[in-house]
Amino acid sequence: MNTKLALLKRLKVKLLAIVGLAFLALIVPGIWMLLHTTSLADEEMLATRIGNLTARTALALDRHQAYDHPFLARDLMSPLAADRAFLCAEVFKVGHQPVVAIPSSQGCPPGLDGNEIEIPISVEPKWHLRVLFTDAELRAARNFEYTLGLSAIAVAFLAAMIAVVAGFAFLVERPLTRLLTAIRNSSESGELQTANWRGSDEMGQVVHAYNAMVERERQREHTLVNTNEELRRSEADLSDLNRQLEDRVTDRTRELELAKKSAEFANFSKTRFLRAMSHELRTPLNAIIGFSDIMVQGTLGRLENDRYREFSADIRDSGRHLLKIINELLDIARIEAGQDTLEEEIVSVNVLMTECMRLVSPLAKERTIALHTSEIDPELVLDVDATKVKQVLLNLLGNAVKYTPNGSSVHVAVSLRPRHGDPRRGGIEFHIRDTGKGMSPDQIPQAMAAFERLDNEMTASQSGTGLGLPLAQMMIELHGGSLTLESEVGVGTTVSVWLPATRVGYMRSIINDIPPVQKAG
Amino acid sequence: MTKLHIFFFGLVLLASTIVIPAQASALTLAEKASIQASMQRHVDGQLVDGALLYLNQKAGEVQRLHPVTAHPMILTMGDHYVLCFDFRNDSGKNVPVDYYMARRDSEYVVFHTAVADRTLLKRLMSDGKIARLR
Repeated sequence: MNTKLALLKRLKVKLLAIVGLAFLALIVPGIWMLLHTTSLADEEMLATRIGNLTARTALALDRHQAYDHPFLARDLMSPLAADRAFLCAEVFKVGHQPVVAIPSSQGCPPGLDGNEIEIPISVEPKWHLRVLFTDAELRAARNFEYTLGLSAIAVAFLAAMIAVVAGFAFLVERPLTRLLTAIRNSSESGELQTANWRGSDEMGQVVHAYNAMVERERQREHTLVNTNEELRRSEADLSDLNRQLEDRVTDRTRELELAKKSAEFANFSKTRFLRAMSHELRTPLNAIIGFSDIMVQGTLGRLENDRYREFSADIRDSGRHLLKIINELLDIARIEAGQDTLEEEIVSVNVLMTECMRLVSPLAKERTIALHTSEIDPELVLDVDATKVKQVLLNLLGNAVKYTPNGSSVHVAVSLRPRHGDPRRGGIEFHIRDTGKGMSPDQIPQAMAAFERLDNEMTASQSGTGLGLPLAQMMIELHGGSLTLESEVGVGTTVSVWLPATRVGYMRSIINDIPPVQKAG
Repeated sequence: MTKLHIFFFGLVLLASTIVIPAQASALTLAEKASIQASMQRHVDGQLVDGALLYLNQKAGEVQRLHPVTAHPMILTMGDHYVLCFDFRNDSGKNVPVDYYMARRDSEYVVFHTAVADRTLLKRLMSDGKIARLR
């Protein structure tokens, strides 16, 4: 059953069925109509032949009045008898027995099977001629024609089927089989194979298209193989590079670690050196300052020579300056070494600022510089290392006075910065603004660096250690704040110190968004 | 083409082979022979000295038409029949004569004769009123 179904599904069988049915649908009605028309024509020819012959015989019988002359009548009727379809003929008067008949011995017996014509010979008296004839020739011709027609149909059908099968096999089946074989081989072997067929018809184009597709696939596969090979090589190169890079990173890391250790060691050595040297320097320096001060004060007796007194004062001042440098160096060294700690305490901002202003006011008065301070809430307090903050403010105020020309002014402003819920934004700000000659933008980083000085044109009164600003910045950053510097040449410089909100509070209560002081630790 | 299409195709083919034989002749062979004989008898009865006299109204003369051949084809016009006969005039030109016949009892009689008027027959055929007898 399955084999039969598979057979019916084959393309060739379908094509045969379609062509066979179409052929039969066209040829059978055509042949049938042809046979029918031919048969009809044959029948009409026979009817015409017999009809004309009968009519002419009747005319002859009438013209010769041969009703009463049997021999004459038979002679006149003899052409009828010569026709191959003729069976018999009779001349009779209506309502009477025949007077003449052919064959003369028999006439037309009642059981004779045939086609009958009866036509009048004369009007009065009513003589009639009756003729019987056979259609055997029609049947014979029809049988022959039908046999011929069926044979023609059968032969033509077989020829058509053979032509279809042969044509299909040559035009379709062969290229299709080769194409199918190539596809199956490709599928089984895993390697694409072309089909060997050359033709310019549709099947040839199909095979050609398949072969072209196979060629493209081969090229693509070749390209993929090459690309894979390149990728493999690239991957190997990349691995080598990675390995080299890792080696270099390892080497570099090792070098950096060595450099870091070296730097740390150098820093540690520097700090230890500075501390040792500072200690070693401060002891004799204190002695120098003390003895020179005794000499200036004349505690053990006044120096007779004024020049000796001036020299003693210079020795004392220089010693104090050197001591300040040493102290600041020590502070920087401690902060850099992470050994400095904050001695936090609650201190009033107002008190702090008043104290600082008082300390710098003599120098300001000496130089006729006016000091202006903004109004400070007396309840405002800070939780800071008061000594360090005071040192910072004094340093900044001293710088402002030092770098402001005589007769000018220095402004100090203290303000609270609202934090709007963000503790990183709130806090307190100190703005110390002088009206000195100012700095250009590229000089600001230099001013913030240790041991850097911008005193090319400065007077002796402006001399400093060059460590004040960096040390102040370090101390403020120890508190979590920041120190910034804004300056404009010819206008002046403003130094801003910001301390975070966690270090600001009020003595009485929390106001607005300023939180109360939280004691560290 | 589906199997259904093939089935209907075969059915149409079968129907066509069945319908065509059903178009049998309307007259039997004997009747055809009788009608041919009747026409022949009519023609013979009309002859004057072996020729059919025809008044050509256009030419304004009587022409003599000599019978030559009876056409075997029988045409039908409803219950009536049309048969053709070829005549030849004195100048040798063929003249078609169409006989319109009717059945009377077992006989056939000519009720109209169209001499050299093939236009009438063609018009009636194109109108579908006259067809070939099958």
